[in-house]
Amino acid sequence: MATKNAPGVRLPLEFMVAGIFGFLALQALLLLHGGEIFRGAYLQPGVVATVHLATLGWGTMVVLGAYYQLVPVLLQVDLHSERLGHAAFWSYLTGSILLIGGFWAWAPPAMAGGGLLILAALLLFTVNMALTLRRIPRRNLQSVAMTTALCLLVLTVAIGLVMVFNFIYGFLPSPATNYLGLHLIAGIGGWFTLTIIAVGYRLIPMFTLSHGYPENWQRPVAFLTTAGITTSATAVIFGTTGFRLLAAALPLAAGLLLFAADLVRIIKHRRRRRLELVTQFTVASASAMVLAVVLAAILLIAPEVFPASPAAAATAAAYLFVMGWVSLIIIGQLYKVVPFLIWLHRYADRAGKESVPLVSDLYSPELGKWSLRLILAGIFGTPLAVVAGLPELAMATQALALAGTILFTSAMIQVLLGLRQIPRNQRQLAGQPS
Amino acid sequence: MVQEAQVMEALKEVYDPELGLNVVDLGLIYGIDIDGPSVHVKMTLTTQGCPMHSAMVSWVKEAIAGLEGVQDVNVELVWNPPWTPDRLSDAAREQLGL
Repeated sequence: MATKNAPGVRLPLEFMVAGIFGFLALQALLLLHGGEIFRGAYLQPGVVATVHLATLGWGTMVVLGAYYQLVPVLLQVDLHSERLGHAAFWSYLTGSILLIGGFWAWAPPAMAGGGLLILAALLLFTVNMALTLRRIPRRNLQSVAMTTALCLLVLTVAIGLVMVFNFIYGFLPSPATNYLGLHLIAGIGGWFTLTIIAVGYRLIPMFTLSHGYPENWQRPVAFLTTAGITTSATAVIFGTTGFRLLAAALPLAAGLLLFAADLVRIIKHRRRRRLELVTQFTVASASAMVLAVVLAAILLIAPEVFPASPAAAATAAAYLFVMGWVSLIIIGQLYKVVPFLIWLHRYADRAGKESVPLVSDLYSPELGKWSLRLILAGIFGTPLAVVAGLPELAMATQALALAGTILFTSAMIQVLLGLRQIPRNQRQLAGQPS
Repeated sequence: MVQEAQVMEALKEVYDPELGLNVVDLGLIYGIDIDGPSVHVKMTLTTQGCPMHSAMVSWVKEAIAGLEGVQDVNVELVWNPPWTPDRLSDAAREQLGL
């Protein structure tokens, strides 16, 4: 393994591979339960299971794997323990299957058991990361944001677990929806958003070869986002709605929109003129986030403008946030990170001595191109159809998202199993050009 | 004794597998000192925290160690002055579409 600080490829890849198959299952479930979700029947067992497959079985699964790879490489520090990392993976995987299955069958003991295993896995993960981050010589914006994000993930899971136990024993004083709001803000607004911002500021310039862009918005973005998470969380705890909730969420919305504008600035300074898949998915992710913020703002100011129903608009905003903002950037990063890890594992020792492919040669560009088109058609088309009150069209566009996801999974399998045959005359060589 | 031009030629065969460009055209080589059979290379990477960090350094070492007359290779990775796109060769600019 050639990167100095990173752990072996197995640890990040086991999380990423599990997450990729989780995403495939998620797209299929969204098609299966689309009728209920797009009508706004959120608390049906199948819908709760689908939402947790999205957040735990897909998003968090991949992001945890990415932390194992990126924290040591980006912050130039050795991972404290790989063994602890594998233990966290198996606990997290078993817990996720049990929790999602428990929601599906509405079996509270399975939900509680799964939740406890997930919490145990995250505590192992957090201890491992804390002991790793302790070694870095100087704290920076990235390390602080990633640490805060991790704390918010643990908080999200802990609140979820309290809600499960409350469902069994009924001990909470205020309505469960207040805790649900906090669970959502800490998870989606906190964990995913802070991670995307922290990692995005580091990886996007690296992948686009951007130089000389201004960095003066990074601190305001971090400050506004963190302040917004705090004010929004406080507002939902007290059951605030309407304009007051909008005012509380304003710093978060401002932080997110400023981040989107900053991404455009960074990409404008790129030296790689051709927009690679990773950049196209990133731009699409930020666009989905902007749409979600605008939809959510209209929903809080003038819910009557939506032709179908405010519930449909809320579903569309949540879909854009989870399937657009969170998922699209993860897909883009996976198109970069998985081939990179496999390349290092398979070719790093042979580069310079014999002809080896480039990292981007490991999957078919056609698979990449068509997966992008179909996934974008599905992930932007579905919420638009939901807002317009056209559930049949939403199911059709969701089918496109599933088709694109099948192609994306095929590309990842091609990389993982080394299935792509590169014609000799097209092969670009790394290490031996002649 | 090995010549600087020979070292540069050898380094043109060390590629960044992500960009598909060699370290010379990328402008990553800051200096080469040759003292008999010992070669000292001062180089940088496009960004600090580059995931290829140690792999690139070892490829550079191996490429030079394979030259006749070389017994010892030392690669010094520096971040000052930081790499900028101005260091790209014309060939690299063309490949990146600049």
